[in-house]
Amino acid sequence: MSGRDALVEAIARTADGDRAALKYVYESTSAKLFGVCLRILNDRGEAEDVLQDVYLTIWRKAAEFDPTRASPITWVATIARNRSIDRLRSRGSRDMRPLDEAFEVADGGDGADVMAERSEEAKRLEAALASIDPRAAAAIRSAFFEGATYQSLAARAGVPEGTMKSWIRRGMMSLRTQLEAA
Amino acid sequence: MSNGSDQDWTDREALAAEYALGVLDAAERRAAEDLVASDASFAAEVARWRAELAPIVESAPAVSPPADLWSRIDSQIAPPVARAVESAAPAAPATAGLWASLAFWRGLSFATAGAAAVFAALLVSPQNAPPPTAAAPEAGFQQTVTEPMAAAPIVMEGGSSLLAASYDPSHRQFIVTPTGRYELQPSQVLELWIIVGDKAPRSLGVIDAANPRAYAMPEDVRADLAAGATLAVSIEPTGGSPTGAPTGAVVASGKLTQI
Repeated sequence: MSGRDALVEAIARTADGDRAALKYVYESTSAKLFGVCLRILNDRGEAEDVLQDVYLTIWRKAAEFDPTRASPITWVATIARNRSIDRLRSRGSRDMRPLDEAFEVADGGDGADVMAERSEEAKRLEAALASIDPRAAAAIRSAFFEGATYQSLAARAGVPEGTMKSWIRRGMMSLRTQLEAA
Repeated sequence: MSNGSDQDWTDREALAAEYALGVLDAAERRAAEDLVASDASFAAEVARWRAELAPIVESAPAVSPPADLWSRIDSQIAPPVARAVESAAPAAPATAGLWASLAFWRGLSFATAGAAAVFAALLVSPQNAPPPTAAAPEAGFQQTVTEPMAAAPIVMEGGSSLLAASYDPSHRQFIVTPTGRYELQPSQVLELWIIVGDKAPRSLGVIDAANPRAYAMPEDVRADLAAGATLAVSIEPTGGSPTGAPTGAVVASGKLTQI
């Protein structure tokens, strides 16, 4: 049984109210999900609160997971992302990060051996993101992780809102084209 | 504004993409929500975008959460006794039995850990997980490559959990979280080993048995930290095995698999 299958089974057992199964889900995913919460919230205390809430949500909503539609790690990480963005919105616009870093196109420095290990899903998406306008790719990542609106993204990049809108729309169109071609 | 290069896309198509990405302001978002409720094809387009974008979330770095977080979660979920009472079954199944029974655990080899081999003693020294204030912004906008993580619950004979290990290749973080207890003498430590195929066990270092930690891994070990490798824990004298091979009893093991 693969780790992915084991996680799918653990989520299914969590849906039946099995605490040991939830603990397994926690042990195999909490470091990744804490990273997601921190990436979005940039505040350790808030990230801990949200992470706690994320696993309580998984406990309650495990029955809604459909392994034919998403990988289990993506499903739990999406809950972490959504909860973190909810928290971010509830505290208003403080902690705005500059977008400058967004335009530094650095790959992770991973060698070919590591690249070969990526899952098909992620490979497709990362390849598509790498092929579009880097300004659009950075803004898309930023929007995805922070729930940032056009207005906020434009302010941070120091460009008019119409420009940001055009970057993102064209970026999303190219992304779709790339994903369909892949 | 002229439609320019956006002309191939209708406003409705653009709205589905923008709504799924989350860039709309409150009024536009409400309009999109209304469309999702009233228009099945729009709702399907939003769902498609969401599914396509979702794997981005995995590009966040793994960071070890505080050690007591699980107990905080566990204390907030319904007590198992209530469920046992609801159940008509004569006895609630033992929770440890669940994982012990899975095919997942089959084939773990305790025998290979006994093989003698000479290796450099401690390849790594533990270091604390990086503080999030430093890690989070740095990770912010990197074009991070998303790769599958590998994880291994490390269980003792009998099936109870001792450690949980995970490796995130995107960020080269190897995190070990204590999940159970092993009664150690004051002069004893837990040492973690990796076993790949028929090769001799290789030390990953002495493990903090009380706190979750991120451990730095040398480059030549990283390639081994992929799905398929077995992790094993042996009891060693303070400072770790003096020979480079396990000298004490192997008390727990687990297999790294992709999650």
